[in-house]
Amino acid sequence: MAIDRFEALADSTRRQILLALAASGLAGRTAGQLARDLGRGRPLVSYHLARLVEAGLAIAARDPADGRRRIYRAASRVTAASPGPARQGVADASQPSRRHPRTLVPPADAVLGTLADGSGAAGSRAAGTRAAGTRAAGGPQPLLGSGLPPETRARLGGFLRGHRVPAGQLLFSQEDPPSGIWFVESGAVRLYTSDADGREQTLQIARAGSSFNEVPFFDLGPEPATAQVLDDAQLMELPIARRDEILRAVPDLSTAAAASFAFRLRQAIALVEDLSFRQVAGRVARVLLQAVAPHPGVGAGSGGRLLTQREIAEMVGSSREVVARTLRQLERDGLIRVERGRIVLLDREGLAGHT
Amino acid sequence: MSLCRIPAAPTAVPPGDAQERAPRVELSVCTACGLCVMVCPAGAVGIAFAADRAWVPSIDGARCIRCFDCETACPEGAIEVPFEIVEQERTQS
Repeated sequence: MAIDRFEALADSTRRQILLALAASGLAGRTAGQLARDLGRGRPLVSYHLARLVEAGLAIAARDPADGRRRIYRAASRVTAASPGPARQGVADASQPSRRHPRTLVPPADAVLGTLADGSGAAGSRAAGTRAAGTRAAGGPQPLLGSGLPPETRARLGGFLRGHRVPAGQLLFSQEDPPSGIWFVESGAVRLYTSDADGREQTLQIARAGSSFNEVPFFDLGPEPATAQVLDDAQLMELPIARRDEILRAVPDLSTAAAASFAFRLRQAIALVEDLSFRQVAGRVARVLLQAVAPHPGVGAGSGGRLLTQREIAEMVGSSREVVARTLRQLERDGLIRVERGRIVLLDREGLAGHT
Repeated sequence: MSLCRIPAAPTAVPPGDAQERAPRVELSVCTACGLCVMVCPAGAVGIAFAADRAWVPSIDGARCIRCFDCETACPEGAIEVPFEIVEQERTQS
């Protein structure tokens, strides 16, 4: 590699280009479009794009509609595969508030309504946010977004910042300085921790109607997990920069947050229990059962997001091979049927007996 | 290996559902051998340039027909088509 990521980002024009690419999401931009956007010469933009591609910060692909054109995109998948330097690098020192390239959109009343109601489809999807290791039992889910009275919500509205974030983008990484509290309006965000070998443990999949990352907002510690957008997401952020102001203006927030913490703590205890005491088969069975847990407004079987074996492995703290073997074993036991692109649960009670 | 056959890449943010149902590539396992690009009958697997290798597969969910050819062809097991989890209809059992 001719230049490394830090070298690539040392140049302000390249940072501008990268931010513009990140804002364009999967659609990407051509060199000509970028030159127009930034008011710079096309040869200059092409030169810097080539350096960004070399450094692995941008990716280039041919436009399928016109094979002679090249479309550039921010290398979200690349940064996702190697969290840390690349994503850190995207931060522009001159714009501390935009540590991550995102499209800023004004907070709309409709968005707040969805967050605040916590009812209907959004609320029921929020029930699916419980990741592996949490109990499938019913009961209240005091999510910050849905636990606020209308007047509190109205006061909070002025502080919320909207972000439209494409799939694959990292919002923040473990050990990053604290960011704000996030609300998911649409799409999905995965919270996970990882070790030096790249093994990952999914902690939570936040879907529409739910919130995440309350902890660092209150203890001001580093980010406890990495957040990656799974499906193109519309998010709202309560920026940590205005934390004191927010807590003064919206004192109820602390009460709502306490309820949210209690919920997360129960999740964490269940996860510890799973990882400590349950065999992989029990954990896999639990993930399968949770996927079809009948939530109000969501028909049985519609479940949550479609999963791969690797993703299940990340949820249950195991490897893909072990998950594949476990699924075959469950199939031999007559509990499930594995089809192409589908797992059919045949014996719910039998699966529950495994957990 | 002919890479010029299918230089597909997403042209726009694909509909969430289509992209969710599309095969997912584990880049830490992918060796960029190109088999997935060659076998895809729908031209859904394109190539994207990446940091530490020549290129990585990029799958366009809107074009994917879920034929599983890429998953079957991948020698490293880097590609997986996500599955939905459903409960057997009570009436069937």
